Amino acid sequence: MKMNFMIKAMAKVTAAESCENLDEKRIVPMMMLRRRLTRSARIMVYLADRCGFSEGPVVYGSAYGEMQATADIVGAIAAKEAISPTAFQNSVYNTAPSYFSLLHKNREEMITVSSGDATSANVLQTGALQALIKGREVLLVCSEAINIPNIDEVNSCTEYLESGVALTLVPTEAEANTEVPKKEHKGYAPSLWAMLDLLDACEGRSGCVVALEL
Amino acid sequence: MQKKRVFVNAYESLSCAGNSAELMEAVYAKKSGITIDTSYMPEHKAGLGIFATGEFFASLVAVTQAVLRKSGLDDFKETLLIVGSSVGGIGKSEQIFFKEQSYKNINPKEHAVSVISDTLNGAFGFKESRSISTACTSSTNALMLGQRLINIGAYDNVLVVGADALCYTTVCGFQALGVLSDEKCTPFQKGRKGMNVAEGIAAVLLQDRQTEESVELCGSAGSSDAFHMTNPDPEAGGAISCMQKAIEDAGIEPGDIDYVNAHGTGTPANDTVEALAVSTLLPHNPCMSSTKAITGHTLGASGALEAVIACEVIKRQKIAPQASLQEAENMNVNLPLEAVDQKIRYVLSNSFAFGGNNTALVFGALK
Repeated sequence: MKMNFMIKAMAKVTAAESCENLDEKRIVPMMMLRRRLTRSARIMVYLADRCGFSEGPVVYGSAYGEMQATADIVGAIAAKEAISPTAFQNSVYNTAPSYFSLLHKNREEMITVSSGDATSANVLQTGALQALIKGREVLLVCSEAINIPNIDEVNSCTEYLESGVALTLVPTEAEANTEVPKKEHKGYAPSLWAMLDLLDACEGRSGCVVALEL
Repeated sequence: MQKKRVFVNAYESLSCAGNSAELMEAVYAKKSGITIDTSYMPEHKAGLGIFATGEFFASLVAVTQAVLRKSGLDDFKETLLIVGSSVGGIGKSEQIFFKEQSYKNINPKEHAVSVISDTLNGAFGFKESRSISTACTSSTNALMLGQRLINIGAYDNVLVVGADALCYTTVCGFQALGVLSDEKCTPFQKGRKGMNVAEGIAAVLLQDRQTEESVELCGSAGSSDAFHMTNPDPEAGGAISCMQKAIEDAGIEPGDIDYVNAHGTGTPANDTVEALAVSTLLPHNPCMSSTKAITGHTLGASGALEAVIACEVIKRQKIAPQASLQEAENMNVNLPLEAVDQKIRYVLSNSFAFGGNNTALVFGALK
């Protein structure tokens, strides 16, 4: 089943190693909260800010979740050291949208998708469903942050160790006016490609309406 | 848009209390499947829920096969798979890393949450699949999304699979948070010591068509606490909000709820807040129990596992007792010490997770 959605805002960020200038001090003025943010959470709150979104439902996606926290925990267990409680609470896949929720006192539904290479395609489907059910604007974010020591031992899918893409959409009765061709986004994790396709198709245009599968 | 009704037409599960039939025997007999274990932490005892059946991924396929057999479907080729899991394949990554102190032989695809859906797609060839990972609400959110997709007519058949294996990360992580009990957990007990981590698999088939054996998934809703990453809002705002919205989604009143299958992890914080939420929203004081006293906390699988229990409670018209309870902390909630035979129209099933992620489901007997 396909339905039409208007893309209201879009943003992306990427870096070979670590995304700089994420404007954290302005976006997250509370120092204690800012210090606890994971890299994925920093990317997410930045992208949400760029989209001008703070209140409403969110669908977030990541194929590999919180790699640094996971590596810290497994490393500590292997070394027979104490696990940091903060590392454990930051290790769940829904860490980034949870910090976003805390930051903005956003009490709406936060869904996290993790479907491997199909993650952002499934984020689009789930975000479309949520926008339809709620009848309101929904924020969709997909990010990967895999810049951890020795990641080169296992990373063969991306040149950008940190990247994220975001958009907001609302259901519309208007006719679709934009085709979204599938492309290969060299350097980006494949888990982001479907949302990057949509950003490319809508770049530089306003009133972009796309038909999305639910 | 007219909402299509959603029916639970087949299910199966595996937990430390056995398969679904064995689980219900254990629930009504108040026989916990938890064992006290030191294999993950030699210096600490922990109550854990462990399978006796061997390899996790073989069990995952077997549970799903059992649902296919019960469903009347020839195959799952026209069925959407939605997986809910919090840890995916991290257990295998741990084993490799502990042995080799290197990531080199870790296959990223076998590490990620999506290894569950990849395994099931390989075995059954689903029409499509997606995976949800919101910690301990993972499969509850999967059920909520499955319900919505059928409500709007996007799919006729959705199989929701909740699956989480035990691993060092979760056992040692919860120990680091100081919420793991070294005994069998005692949800809602005064002075309780904490939770039991457990592994679990549950597969629940949602369909748009009703059979004589159906239970209806009538309502669902989520919310966020926006309070703390691991501690629930002490005023229970998020918990009350999702329960209230799920009841509204079902088109019923709070007073129509006959039984609450609580999240009830046995941690001091969760159970205090959940009891407050239930006593506030449901002043008619329906029976409530946490079956985690039998199964332990199966994390991302718990929503689907407890959906199985909710459906069985409705089919049997018999409320699950609260096992391991001697003296309740909150006397304003109705925790039955023995199974109760009574008319059960609607069951509310709660799940709460890290990040203040809350989801509630409402199941109903056929009218």
